Amino acid sequence: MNNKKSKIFYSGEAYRKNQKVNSQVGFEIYNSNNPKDDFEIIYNSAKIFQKEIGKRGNISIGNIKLFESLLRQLDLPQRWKSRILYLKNNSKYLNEILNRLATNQDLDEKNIELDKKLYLKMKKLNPNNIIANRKVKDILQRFEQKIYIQPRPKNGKKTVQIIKSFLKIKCPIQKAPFILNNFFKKNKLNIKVSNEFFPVKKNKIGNLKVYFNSNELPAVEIYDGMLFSIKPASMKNKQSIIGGRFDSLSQSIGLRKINAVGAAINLDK
Amino acid sequence: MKKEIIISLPSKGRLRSETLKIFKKRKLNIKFEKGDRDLIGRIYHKKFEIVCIFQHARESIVSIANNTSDIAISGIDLLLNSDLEIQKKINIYKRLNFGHATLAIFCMNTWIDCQTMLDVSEIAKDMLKKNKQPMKCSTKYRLLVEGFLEEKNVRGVEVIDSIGATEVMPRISQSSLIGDIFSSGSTAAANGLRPLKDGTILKSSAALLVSKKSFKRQAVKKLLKLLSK
Repeated sequence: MNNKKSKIFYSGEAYRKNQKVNSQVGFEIYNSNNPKDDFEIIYNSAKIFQKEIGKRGNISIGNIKLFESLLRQLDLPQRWKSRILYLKNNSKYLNEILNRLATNQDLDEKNIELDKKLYLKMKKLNPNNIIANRKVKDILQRFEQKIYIQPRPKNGKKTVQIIKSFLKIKCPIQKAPFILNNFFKKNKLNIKVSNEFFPVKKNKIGNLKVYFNSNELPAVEIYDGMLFSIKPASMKNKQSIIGGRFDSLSQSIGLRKINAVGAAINLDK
Repeated sequence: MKKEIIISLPSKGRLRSETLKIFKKRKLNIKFEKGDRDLIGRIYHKKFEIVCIFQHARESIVSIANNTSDIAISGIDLLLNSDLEIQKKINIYKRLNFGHATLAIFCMNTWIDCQTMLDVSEIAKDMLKKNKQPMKCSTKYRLLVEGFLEEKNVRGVEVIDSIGATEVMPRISQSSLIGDIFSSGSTAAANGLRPLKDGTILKSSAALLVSKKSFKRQAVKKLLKLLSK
């Protein structure tokens, strides 16, 4: 693929979390460096949705970069920030992990004390000895990092409250910058949200209502920036359109960085 | 239409002795024509014509799935680790109060930095980077372990099949973790292993299982009722 912007359309088989989708159609823009492309994808998805799926529905737009910014600002060891971010596409498990962080219930103080004693003994071993395919020095280094250098924060409860409140923010898209900036200010977080996070500026596209939803986290791992879903107003209709930015996908499979944005419809539903 | 009811029962160990107690308590005496080592027995009962086949608990599951037998006593763990096609053909009629065991993920005690599945996730990522190989987890319960790793978002762990003595695998660095079933945990502890804090996959016990096809027969229903009293 050259550096020129190109638009593609596809239809065929796809995989979602190890499950085969027999029939999926999608459209994508590659070498997309302009946020206007995000609007183009959402706008066209909205048109297709209204023509093929339903006249009424909701467009929910989020941005994983906002969540990343929030985590960067929180008083958490890097290990925990990475964990939370890593689990963004598994909301059930993410919630469980946040509860653990808030309560420290998964920590067994008695075991930690025993491990500290074992740590002192293991320090006398040859650091290059192998235990279950790991070097002793790697085990000790990680233990030091966890227990002594970057232990779990004492105010985990407050941090978790901030994360959970952030994930509850849902509002008409026009109000989003105001509500988000207020939220960050209230929680003394140095984040300023600009318009770049909101590819759609109006609260409606045709008959579809447009919301900002901070909990619009990717169900599939490929998305790494703006993401959106369009769902029918009626709960009976399960058909939806999902899309977003996947600027890092090409690098993750060993290619050069190709910024891209796209959307797809699973026709099996 | 066959008249006799075929029951597949565990052929050895505590599962066998506890199962035989159930039969004895309900006055269902199993007669062996060829002595105690005979693996097929008969129960002469006024209401039922029963044939007992003594098999490995794992074989019992296959046996009711393919309708060789109608009822079986086996472990929930073995049922849930079998192919979905097999599971679809079997109903759990009742959980029994013996054969209690827990399937869990274990690591070496000396992996002092590893307490939870989140740690496994991070260590696996690190090992892949350093060793250029995925972390390995030995188990007899591939399906359940793979499903659990998926549920906990753990990537970079390769599940490898083990036939037995799984506890020794991390000690000889054949794998880094094991997914194994335990009741007291003493074998795991003797081999320097500890279960992960959130590594419990399944709480299992023995169960009365029935083939969905056979469950349509009145005689089978009556016998199940009698066995589960």
